[in-house]
Amino acid sequence: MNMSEFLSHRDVESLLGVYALDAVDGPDAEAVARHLRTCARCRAEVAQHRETAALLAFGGEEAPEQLWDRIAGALETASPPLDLSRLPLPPSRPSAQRSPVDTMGHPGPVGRRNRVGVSRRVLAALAAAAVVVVGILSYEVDSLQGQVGRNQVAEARPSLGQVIAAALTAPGRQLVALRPTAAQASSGSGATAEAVLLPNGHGYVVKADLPALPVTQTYQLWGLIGQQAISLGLLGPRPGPSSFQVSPGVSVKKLMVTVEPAGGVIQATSAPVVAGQPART
Amino acid sequence: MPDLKNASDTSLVVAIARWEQAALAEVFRRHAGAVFALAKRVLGPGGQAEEVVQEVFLRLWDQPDRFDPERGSLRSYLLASSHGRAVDMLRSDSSRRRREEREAQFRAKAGYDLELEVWDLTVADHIKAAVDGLPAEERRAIELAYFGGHTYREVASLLDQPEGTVKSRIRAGLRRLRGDLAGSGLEGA
Repeated sequence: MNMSEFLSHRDVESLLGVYALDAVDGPDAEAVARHLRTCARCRAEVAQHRETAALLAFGGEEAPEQLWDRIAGALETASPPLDLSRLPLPPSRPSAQRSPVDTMGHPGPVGRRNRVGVSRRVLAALAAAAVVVVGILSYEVDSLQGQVGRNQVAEARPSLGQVIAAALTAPGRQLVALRPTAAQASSGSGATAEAVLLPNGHGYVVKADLPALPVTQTYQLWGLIGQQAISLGLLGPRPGPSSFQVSPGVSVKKLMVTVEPAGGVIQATSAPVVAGQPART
Repeated sequence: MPDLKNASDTSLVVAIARWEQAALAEVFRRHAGAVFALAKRVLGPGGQAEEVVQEVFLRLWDQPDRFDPERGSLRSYLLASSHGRAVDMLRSDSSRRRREEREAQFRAKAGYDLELEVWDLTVADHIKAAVDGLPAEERRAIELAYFGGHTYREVASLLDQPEGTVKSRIRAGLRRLRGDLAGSGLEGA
């Protein structure tokens, strides 16, 4: 019989300091964990010890820069809420721990990257309506073939490709063709991007033909609203389709993309590489 | 876009729960250095410390609801996450040999002044003063347990002390530090 199951309260208390420092393992650790579930006083003591320990940890070091880019690249992102009845969804599977598709006024994402694979069947169904989108996303499908396990869960969500396809044909949508500004055009960069804006304030970068940046930099999307350039999010150093959001009813006079240090900035540091005005066609 | 640099840690976690990547980036900017330094201190130099940082932040992204602001600061939550993961890695079989080497080195350095080696210059002055103010036995036990990643039984063996003594010294030492630092009215970064 495991004596640790019968730890008295005093025995548990004597372990609280070492437990907070992860210096208990095995049955003792389990016994303390069990006790903490029901004892608020001991939980509070462990929390205090952990706060104290946190002060001992060093604050002056910088984490390596490329570490953030690896993390950013690994993030699973959600598609924003949309009218799902209009979309051909793949067969439903057990959903991920948190359902991202909350249509009850859930605020939309800003500047996301979506790394979810799109099944070939769904891509075919969208082909007639969104040839451009299929062309962009197919490379992502190929590069994601090795990650089938994660994608099986993620496919329960509508993909960014489906959402963009719907946006491109939604009533009231405005297309934005972003082209090099006059200063950039003279350097013949050939950079372009395409975006779409919906009346409800949701926006999508549909396509971004922008040169890849080093990991120390990122593309940042801005909207000219009133007299101000407001950041709409980060597109990353190798941008692709992504989503952003402005408040519904706000008029975006222009979309612009600048090059900024990784992590983005509050105010743009240089002139846009591409820009464009929304047009209703 | 709200000014993230002035946002509270808790509001950043709320934003993370709404899938805002920029909020995670700001949390990273504020706390990744400490998370990395602690993992490196426990695991030694090498790619494992970077793995820990990645896991800690991806875990925050995937499960932001696990952070309870009532229980403590975001910093201490991330550091506890980092420390727990680092210690798990340290105790896994693949690290056992390196660990045994370190323990052998420790025994060989009987009488070596651990203080010189352990407390980095980047620890704030008032924290260093509080640590220096601890009874040596409490300080050594905390250092071996927290930074060395040893269980209290291993610490008892390394210091040649009874397990009960080690447990109570660590608990007392942490309480003393908390009292000293609360008294000075200063909080951790």
